[in-house]
Amino acid sequence: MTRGLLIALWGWLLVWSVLSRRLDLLLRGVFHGLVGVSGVALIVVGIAVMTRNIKQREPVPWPWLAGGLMAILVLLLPPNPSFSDLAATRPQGLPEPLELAFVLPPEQRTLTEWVRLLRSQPDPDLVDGNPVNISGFVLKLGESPAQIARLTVRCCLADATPAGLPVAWPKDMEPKVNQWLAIEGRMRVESRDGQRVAVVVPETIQPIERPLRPLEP
Amino acid sequence: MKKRFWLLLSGAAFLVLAQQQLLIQRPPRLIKQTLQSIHSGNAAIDFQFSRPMQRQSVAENSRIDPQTPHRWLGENNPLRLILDAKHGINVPLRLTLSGKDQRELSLQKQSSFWDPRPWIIVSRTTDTGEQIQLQDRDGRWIPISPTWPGIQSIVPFGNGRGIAIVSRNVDGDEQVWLQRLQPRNLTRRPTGLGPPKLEPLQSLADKPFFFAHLSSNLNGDLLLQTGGFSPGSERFQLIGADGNKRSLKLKTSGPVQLLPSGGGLVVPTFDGLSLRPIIDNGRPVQLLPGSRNLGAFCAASGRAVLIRHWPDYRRSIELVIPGLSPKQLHLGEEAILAVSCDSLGEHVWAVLGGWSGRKSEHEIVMFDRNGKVLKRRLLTPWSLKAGAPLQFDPVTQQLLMTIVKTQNNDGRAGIMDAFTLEWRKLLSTPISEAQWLTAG
Repeated sequence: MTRGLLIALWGWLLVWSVLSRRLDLLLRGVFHGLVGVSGVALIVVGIAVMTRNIKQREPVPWPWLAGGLMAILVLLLPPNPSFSDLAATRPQGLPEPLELAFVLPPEQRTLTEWVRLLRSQPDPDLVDGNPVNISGFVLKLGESPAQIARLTVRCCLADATPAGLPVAWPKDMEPKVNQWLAIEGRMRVESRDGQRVAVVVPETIQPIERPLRPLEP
Repeated sequence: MKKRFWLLLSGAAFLVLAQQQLLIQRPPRLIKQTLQSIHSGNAAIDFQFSRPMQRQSVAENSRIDPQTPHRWLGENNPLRLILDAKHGINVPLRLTLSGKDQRELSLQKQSSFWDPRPWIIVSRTTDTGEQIQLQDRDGRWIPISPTWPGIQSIVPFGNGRGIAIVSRNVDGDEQVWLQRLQPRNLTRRPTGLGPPKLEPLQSLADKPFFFAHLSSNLNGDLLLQTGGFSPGSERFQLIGADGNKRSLKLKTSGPVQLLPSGGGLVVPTFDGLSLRPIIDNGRPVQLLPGSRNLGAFCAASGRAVLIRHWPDYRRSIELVIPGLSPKQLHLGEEAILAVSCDSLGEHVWAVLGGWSGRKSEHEIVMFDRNGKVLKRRLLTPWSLKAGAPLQFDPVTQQLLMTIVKTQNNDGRAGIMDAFTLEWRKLLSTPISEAQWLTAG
């Protein structure tokens, strides 16, 4: 009976993660259905085990109980991951884009599209003066200046890759690591470490809540 | 048995270690050098190495002869070399590549020979019909097509790897051809530079059309727009640089153009110009309303020059910068015969047609991005041939146009310094139309 209950609890945890959109912090949206179906399957198995052993009182091994406790904690405590810490330990290579984003109006390009464009076409003068309208979290890698960044995933957090853009932060602003910001401004070409780079020059910076889907494909 | 197992296992481990040590000691190699059409300078090459390189070391240890201002871009692999010669490049270059990778191992010095200058191609009348010819560096004309009764249009590919041609038969029907080319402007051998090699001519359609319009981009893709006599017979076919063909469904009121950087199309509609991706990405189509034609693209920067027609018969020249409303550079009653711009839209050239008494006069005007007239010059005694393009070449910083004398119907290829507006060369050969063919 208890084993069935614990299996059903894990099933509910999976279903709840999909319904409450917590899974958006871990996994790309296209895989959520698979997780939901697995959750329902676990609930069905749990109910089947419970009905079969409804009158039996068997001893439950401690790892099962620890697992159940873990499931309850995951249900009760909302996750609050540090994307900045994660990004600092991830490789920097972005997957190649399917299509170059020059055709998109610059103000419609997402932060990831900007980074992909600038990596495939590293000539910053081509985008000098283009309007920028992006959102992301503040990422600081070592001693280098803070960037505005997003994590891109093919599947889930395990393969997350940071995509960041340098920002000419206003002098009176100290960007807080992990803070989510929406930035409107323009691209400007600056010389940094002897290299011409495209830098976001903000006209407005708005603190925002972490988006429901913080990971980008 | 057990001994053999351990022997095999240690042998495999030794092989792995030996391979690892061999690879660690192996110096970096240049894998590939590719000409890059999308850049903000005169010309560019991408270098792909076997290992991530130190950009600074490659920049310091590599050489260009004769010395040419340049910059190195990219993080570590690939690296991009962009030439920034203010007065253009008028000779072939020798590149000597060297530098260290991120393990401090040196790349073996290696030389390449690069001639980034474009070729002039013309359509001209011969004894048997019209033919396309290319002028080599010694001034000789090399035929690069068969002769046809007439040539309606020539579209050189943006990557220099081909020319699409619309020919006309004696009945006035049009046929579309593709002449693929193998550029020879980047080579490891000093004697390897030369005009592109011809591949077999291909017919792009099995039957003639009433009309055909062509457009190419910097990737070397070709858009073929054809139509017959019956309404609704218009067809669009995209032929990729890799030869793959696909049909597109478009509604248009005129000739469709591929965006230079690829991925998109400019489609004229009854109420303006629309910009749409080739592959539908679900985002709304961008529309610029008003009676406008696309004049010229400013290479790959996403900027373009438009010609706007006003209800009172005036015309204006507009510079479109992504994300901003079009900026008017000129408004007047003169005819706008042709326009061109540099890769960033910082300079815009226009040939304007006006009247001096009873005689028409053509004038070339250079504007800056804000519409300020930087220079102007009358083309008299020449005038721009009707319908012929005005083309800017970023490598040599020259303008190419087909010019005619009023009393003479034969055209000439006129090459002008883009910034002083002084003639550099007027070719004496009679031609129908001249265009640049990018070196690659």
